[in-house]
Amino acid sequence: MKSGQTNIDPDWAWSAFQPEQPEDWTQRQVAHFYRRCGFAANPEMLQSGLQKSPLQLASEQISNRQESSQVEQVSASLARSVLATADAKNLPAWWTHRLLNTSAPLLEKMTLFWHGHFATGAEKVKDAQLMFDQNQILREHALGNFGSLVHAISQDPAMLIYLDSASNRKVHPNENFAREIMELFVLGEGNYSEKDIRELARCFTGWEIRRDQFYFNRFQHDFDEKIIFNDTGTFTGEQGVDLVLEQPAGAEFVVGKLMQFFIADEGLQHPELIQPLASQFRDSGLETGALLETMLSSNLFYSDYAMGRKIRSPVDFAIGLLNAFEGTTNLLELNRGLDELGQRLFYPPNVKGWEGGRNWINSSTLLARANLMQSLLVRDETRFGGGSLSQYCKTHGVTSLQEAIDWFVEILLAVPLSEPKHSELVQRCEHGSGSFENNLRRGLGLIVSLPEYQLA
Amino acid sequence: MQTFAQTTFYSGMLAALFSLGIYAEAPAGDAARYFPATTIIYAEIDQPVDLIKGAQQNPQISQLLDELKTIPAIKKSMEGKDFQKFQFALKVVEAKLGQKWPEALAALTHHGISIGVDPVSNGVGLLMQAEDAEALNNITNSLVELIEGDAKSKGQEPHFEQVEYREAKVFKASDFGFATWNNWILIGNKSDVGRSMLDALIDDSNTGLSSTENFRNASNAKTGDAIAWLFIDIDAARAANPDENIYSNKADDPGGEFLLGGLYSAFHETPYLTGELQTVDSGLKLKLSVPFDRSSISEERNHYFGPEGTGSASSPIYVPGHLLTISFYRDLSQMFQRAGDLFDEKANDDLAKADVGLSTLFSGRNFADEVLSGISPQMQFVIARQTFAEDKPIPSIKLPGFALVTELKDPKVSRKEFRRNFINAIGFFNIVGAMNGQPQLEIDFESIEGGELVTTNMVPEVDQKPDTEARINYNFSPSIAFSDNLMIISTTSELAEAVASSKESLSVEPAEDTEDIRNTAMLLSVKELVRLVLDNREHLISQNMLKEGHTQEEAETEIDSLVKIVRLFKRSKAVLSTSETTLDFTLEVEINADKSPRE
Amino acid sequence: MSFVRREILQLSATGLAVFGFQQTAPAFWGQIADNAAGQENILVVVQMTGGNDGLNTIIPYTQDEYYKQRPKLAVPKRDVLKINDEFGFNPALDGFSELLEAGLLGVVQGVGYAQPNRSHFESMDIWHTCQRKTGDRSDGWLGRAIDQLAEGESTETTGMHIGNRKQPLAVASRLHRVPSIRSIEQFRLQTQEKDSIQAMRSLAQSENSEADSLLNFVQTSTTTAIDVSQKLQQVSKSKNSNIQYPETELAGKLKTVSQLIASDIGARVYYVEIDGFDTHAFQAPAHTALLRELGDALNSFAQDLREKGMQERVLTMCFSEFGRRVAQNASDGTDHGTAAPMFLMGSNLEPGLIGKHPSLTNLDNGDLKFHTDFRQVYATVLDNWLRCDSSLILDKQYESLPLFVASR
Repeated sequence: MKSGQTNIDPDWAWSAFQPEQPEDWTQRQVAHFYRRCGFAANPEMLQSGLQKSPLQLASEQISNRQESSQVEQVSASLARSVLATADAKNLPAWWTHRLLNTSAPLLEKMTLFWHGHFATGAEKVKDAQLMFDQNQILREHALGNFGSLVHAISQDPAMLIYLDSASNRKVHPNENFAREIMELFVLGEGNYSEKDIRELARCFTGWEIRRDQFYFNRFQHDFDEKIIFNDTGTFTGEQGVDLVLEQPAGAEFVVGKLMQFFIADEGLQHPELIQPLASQFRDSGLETGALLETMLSSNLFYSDYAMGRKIRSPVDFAIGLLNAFEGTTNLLELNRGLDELGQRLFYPPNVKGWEGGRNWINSSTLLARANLMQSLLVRDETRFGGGSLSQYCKTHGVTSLQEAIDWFVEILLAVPLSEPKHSELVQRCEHGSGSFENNLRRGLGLIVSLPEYQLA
Repeated sequence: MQTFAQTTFYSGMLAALFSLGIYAEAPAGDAARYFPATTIIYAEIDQPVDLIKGAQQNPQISQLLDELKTIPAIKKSMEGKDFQKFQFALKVVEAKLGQKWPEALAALTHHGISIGVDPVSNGVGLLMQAEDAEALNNITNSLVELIEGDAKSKGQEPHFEQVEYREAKVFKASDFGFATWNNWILIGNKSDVGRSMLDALIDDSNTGLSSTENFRNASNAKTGDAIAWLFIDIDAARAANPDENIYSNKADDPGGEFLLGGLYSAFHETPYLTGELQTVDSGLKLKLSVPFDRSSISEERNHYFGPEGTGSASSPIYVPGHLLTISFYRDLSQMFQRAGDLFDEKANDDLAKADVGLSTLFSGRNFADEVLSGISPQMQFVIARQTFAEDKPIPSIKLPGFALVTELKDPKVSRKEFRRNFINAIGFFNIVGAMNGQPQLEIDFESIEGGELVTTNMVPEVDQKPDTEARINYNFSPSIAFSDNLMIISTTSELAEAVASSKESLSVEPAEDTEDIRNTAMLLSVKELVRLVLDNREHLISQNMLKEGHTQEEAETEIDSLVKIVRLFKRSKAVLSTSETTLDFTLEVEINADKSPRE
Repeated sequence: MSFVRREILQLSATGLAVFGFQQTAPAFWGQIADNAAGQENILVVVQMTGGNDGLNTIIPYTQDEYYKQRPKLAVPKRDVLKINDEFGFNPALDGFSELLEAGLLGVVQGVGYAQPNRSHFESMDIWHTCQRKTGDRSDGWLGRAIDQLAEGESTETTGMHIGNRKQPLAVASRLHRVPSIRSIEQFRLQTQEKDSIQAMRSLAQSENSEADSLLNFVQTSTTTAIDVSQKLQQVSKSKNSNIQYPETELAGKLKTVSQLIASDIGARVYYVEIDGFDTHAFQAPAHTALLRELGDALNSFAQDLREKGMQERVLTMCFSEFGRRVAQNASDGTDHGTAAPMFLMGSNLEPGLIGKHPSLTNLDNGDLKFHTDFRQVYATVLDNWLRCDSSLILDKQYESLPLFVASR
């Protein structure tokens, strides 16, 4: 792969993908789009996706920034219940319910991206309401302006509590938030100096959280002159954030991270590929939506450099299966499982969020993946399209085990299964003893344990 | 889904059984002698025909069935394919038999049903005596014909192999078989057990289960008006599984000892268990008994039964909003002092560790020896629904109040200790709570007749408007109350005050030797339970959606159905008691006779 | 019925033969065995939460001052399990006594740090991160060690926390996930049917996938995971270890650790906790129970390791966030103090007491004075046992201690 990437022509890479042959635009491409830009597609979504162009598909998702009122109403009522318990441990189930029902998949996917980017853990914040409020902020700005998002998050109580910055006094400026905003949120390592951090930290003095709300304590603010990135002035915290956002390195940092999130885990982090999009991002005033429109309808996005070049995150792994067949299940159990798989929503492991890529995979997480699916698939609560899997298959014209396995493989796998393996799979499934329903579920269990399914 | 179906099934069963008492007559013949002497579990229904007829004719049952049919989940499953198939099969059978299935069943079981489990052979036998041989043969032949016909039409091998054994006709299938002789039908899973039972039947043998001493003793105590009767040979069960915890006489952990210690004492040596299901007033009563001698209880179980078994629980307290009361006789101080005999090494080590912390709180007084011994062994645990004041934040999730009610032996001394510790605990809670951003508790003192109240109140957060969506913390106003000898520790001030002003006394007159002594008594009010569910309907629906993967409509239906089913009942009582010769557990369920159960 | 079963057997036999599962160990199996088995040193850390009373653990039974300061709590001279002419173990520590006799136990005395903090949380954080409050506490010392050990290797689990409580900050890593394992069950593949595991493994075989591609990576990881799981089941079932662990929580955790090590799962650092050392009142029975739990569990663990032939490569280290004050308090307990002993168990140690016992008379405000910084112990273990560069983990090079037998 290493040899290939230098050959990628940036102009080609970021031009809109225009399928010329019918075989360039099949269910496989549409499924790829929804795997990356949402949490997998069900058969109906695949069908209707085929009728649209790649650009239509992307821009439709990007302009879809409002959840349908029906989903919103149910989600809000679940949120009320969860928040009434005042226990942040119940939040993951709430979010996964939304992921399973959303009418705006890209919006949720981007909210998840920002959750990992602005990682804040409920373990430390503890307050469920604050974690929930932060999640709302992330969603509100998920496809909007990156600058506005950084401004909002920099005064977000959950974030400041998480970074030990709930009080910040001028005699002893807390450098934590200043450091993270440069290193992890906007610029990336190597694009600032330690002195910049110290000076920026002075801008944030007087920023406090009082009674769970942001509060500016002017008696604690350092009103003296600061020098940041060679700019001199009596900058406020807000101005400090603006200075960071104005740094050109920021666009590259964010574009690179988004490419890794949406296109491929490895091998594409090359300046010549990142540059064009970064300039576009800067020129647009850091509009995330416009940037994603280019990225998610590009030749590169639909190329072999992208297809199957990501390891499914635990959320993609589990929600992806359920969504593909309109599945529902015990979400408390599902989230307990996700924790063991290494991705507990609202509880990222540290300030850097989830590393992703190969880090998702090790012996304990792989066994946990197989076990989670096994335990979900044997549960009565796990239903497909509101009923049994066999019923669901039948309504989609799939009546034999062989047909079902073919269908599952076609919908679920991002990389093709080799012919011998495919026939071995069918053979092994057919020899399961038990009812049709059990054999189907067992087959599905085997498919999602395949290495191929771990790729997206 | 499954649990829901089960609930429905059981409540239907209960109602069916309940209707039966009206028709129950004198007990019928004794089938136990045909079961092997090694049978461990044996149960019989003497008058099943009455059960079936009663169920058909009882207006309450039909009302209940109608009620159940309106529950959407049941409605849906009745409209489902499987149920339709079943209905069709039933119709075919009825056509073949020339009678409706309840009649057929009644004919088949006319003189009683008995079932037995024999661990020696892993055999299970079901014995029924039909109205007459003709009816029996008619039914069995028709069924076999139907089944074999179906198999043949599908190109399968016949299911049954038909053989003769002495005068009986035997039908053998791959993993079970049945045999008919005169008006008897025997169904079983092991051919050797079947054979020996048939022998006993044909020879009218008298050497079976009913000849064993345990069974004879057990059946002597039958009261006669029971719908169903159960016998378990504990001696044999214990011999078969000597390592089972229940026979070991050791609970290992304090929680288990507190709840079940007495049962461990009993099951360690009792020979058998009997059970009787009866109808009473407007409900059902299940009574399980084991022979037990309360005067010879080992000393380390004095904490459970009191000295020489005389420890008696007080009458359950009833307060407004009452949901559940459990009244115990348990001498905690005794239990902790006897820990060395009662628990294993690990539990003892854990107790030693716990003792450190608790003793620290009680200003260095030893918790087990000095603190607990100040509490009398009669104690009660009370749960009641609470009311919420409108001018304060009302929690979105509404929990009932919980209270532990005890009596102090020497209130003058121990009141102060407990009051101070309560205040300390609140202070500690406030400090920890403050660190975690939780609301604070404010303490208030109040004098009441014969005592005092220390109440707390969750301080609304600054800027908090009176709201009805407050967090769960606002359910709690931990309080302690003292009234004469009573001490009440409660999660709400409302409940503490209610119990204190009820002026109940926990002391119980010492019982006469011959009387039943209640060790534990439980009282449950269904009405308040329903109200509690309705108070929290929205949250239960949410919980159901997340847990069961249901849609909102499905979840609503399920919760509402649950309420409907629970409403079929009025209250329930359970008592663990000792008589001169037995240890008894009695459970009573009262059916809601209210014609319009909906609110 | 039997017909179907026979058919399945035949099929699986063919399947197995084709994919070489049954007879020959796959190549990578040898590889992980090489990497892990018998080669790499392993560190097991036991955290004694709450502040262990060092003075009643290692008892200066010849010093009148001890009996004077602890009229009720002092262990009588006759009960002490003697280490030498001056010091002895608490009588509950016969497990330690046996370990010492076998030359497997080292006790580092007087361990602490400058300007000691007496808050449980704060002091524990200092032990975990080696940073004061003002420093960067986003990862722990073992987390940083794990990052070093796993550098350039696959992402296989390098550290594990055994327990169901919150993960200790000590193992927090910025680069690697350290799983918390509740029980060995988590490593068992739950399947409805036995041949599902074979199916899963056989279907995961890498063929035709580009080396170093993501697919190849997941394939090899999957087969490894299944093998580890199978091996672990064998290990936990096998009767070759006859060691009966006590029925305590700590013993249960250490047993799990032993099984994990034996299954060649490849972890280098294990972390377990035992809680309850905060003995402010009626200390004696509770502290006795805790020490017995500790000593017996470690002793069984050592025997088990020896039986399994793993003793040479496992070092166990026990610490507590602080010791307790010299004088007992009014409720027959002790309050938060400072310096305390640390315990090391392994076969390459200098056995016995290391460093002198802190003076009972030359006190700092009623507390023992430390003479050995805990980071010296860390540094010695990191450099000489885990073969890390401790200066990168602890921010500077601490003077090492003579903990290990020179040859190692």
